[in-house]
Amino acid sequence: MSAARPQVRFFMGKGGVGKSTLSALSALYHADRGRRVVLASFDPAHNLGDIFQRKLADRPVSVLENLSVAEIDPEKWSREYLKEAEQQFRAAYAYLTTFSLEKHFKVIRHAPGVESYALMRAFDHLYRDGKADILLLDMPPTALSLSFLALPKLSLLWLGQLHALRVEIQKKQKMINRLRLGRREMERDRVMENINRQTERWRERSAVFSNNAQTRYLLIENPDALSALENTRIEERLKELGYGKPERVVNKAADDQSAFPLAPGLYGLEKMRAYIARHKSVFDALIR
Amino acid sequence: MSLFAGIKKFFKGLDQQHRRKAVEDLEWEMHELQHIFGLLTLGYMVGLPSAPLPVAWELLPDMPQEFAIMLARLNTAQNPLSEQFSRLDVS
Repeated sequence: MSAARPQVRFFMGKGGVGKSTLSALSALYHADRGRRVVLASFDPAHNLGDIFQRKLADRPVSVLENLSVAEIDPEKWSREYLKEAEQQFRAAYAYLTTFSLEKHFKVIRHAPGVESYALMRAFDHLYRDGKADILLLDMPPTALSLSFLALPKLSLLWLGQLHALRVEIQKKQKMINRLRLGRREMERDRVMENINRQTERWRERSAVFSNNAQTRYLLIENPDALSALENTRIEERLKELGYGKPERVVNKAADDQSAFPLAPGLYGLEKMRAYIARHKSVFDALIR
Repeated sequence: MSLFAGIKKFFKGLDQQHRRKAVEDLEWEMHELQHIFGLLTLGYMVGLPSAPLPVAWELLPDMPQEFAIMLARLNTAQNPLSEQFSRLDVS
């Protein structure tokens, strides 16, 4: 993932605080300043279509010349991922005719981790396709968001352990080769190659998530204790994962100097642009 | 055969015997490590904590040996002592 990759903004927080509205306003703010913007909703309960008053799809749909919006369907990405995994498994283990694959894959579909990995694949696709200077993500409920964000670190932890174990296996194999055949060289270890390949990919993702110059975490909250408490927990978890310092943004506030004031019925490009113009100083300060 | 050749043959046979036993032991140890590797990647199938599913699934096509060991273990899982005795040549 090179330096030319897009800036990334995660909009997180408790349900109903206005993540979708603020991410849509931010997307429009950046697009009207000439940047190429892709906004994607990872929340299964989408409402970006309602906000932009457009029918959206799982892949980015052009709303303005330099603004595309997508409503990611996690179910669809999960299905695609499992289909791919099943095909690879069938190709590698064609001889296992008695092994009930269908039954197995039905169970796997609901296994923990599939949904967050499906979102990771969607993220990779949006991140790498080169269509955006800035990628804004309207995140799903907190549990799924955190499981998505923890996946690179968790996978790297496991891959590190598996790598160490594989080194032990290779050592034994080397000794056996030497005793039995008098050979020192090792045969190609596909498992080790696979581990190294996966490690490289998860490191790239982890580097994007922890790069403060490229990625920002905007924790949206309202002037109430519950949404603030949830953001405190998100903040702690992101800190544990080593993802820089998240920024807290207050929405639906009475104060219009350092927070976003409540504006009922805020949808459609015209109303959104008027809101941005009214609160330009807040956008300039908080939405970089 | 001269005495020297006989002694040489004896020690060569002894060396081969020790090498064979050492290889057998090492192979058993390696199989155990491969088994642990299999459990760490496929353990979710039997309710054990294991690597995140995407990591495990991507590894699976490249680990037929570990997968075969896991399947073979199904046959010996009910009687682990017999495997140990057969390895130690106890009948």
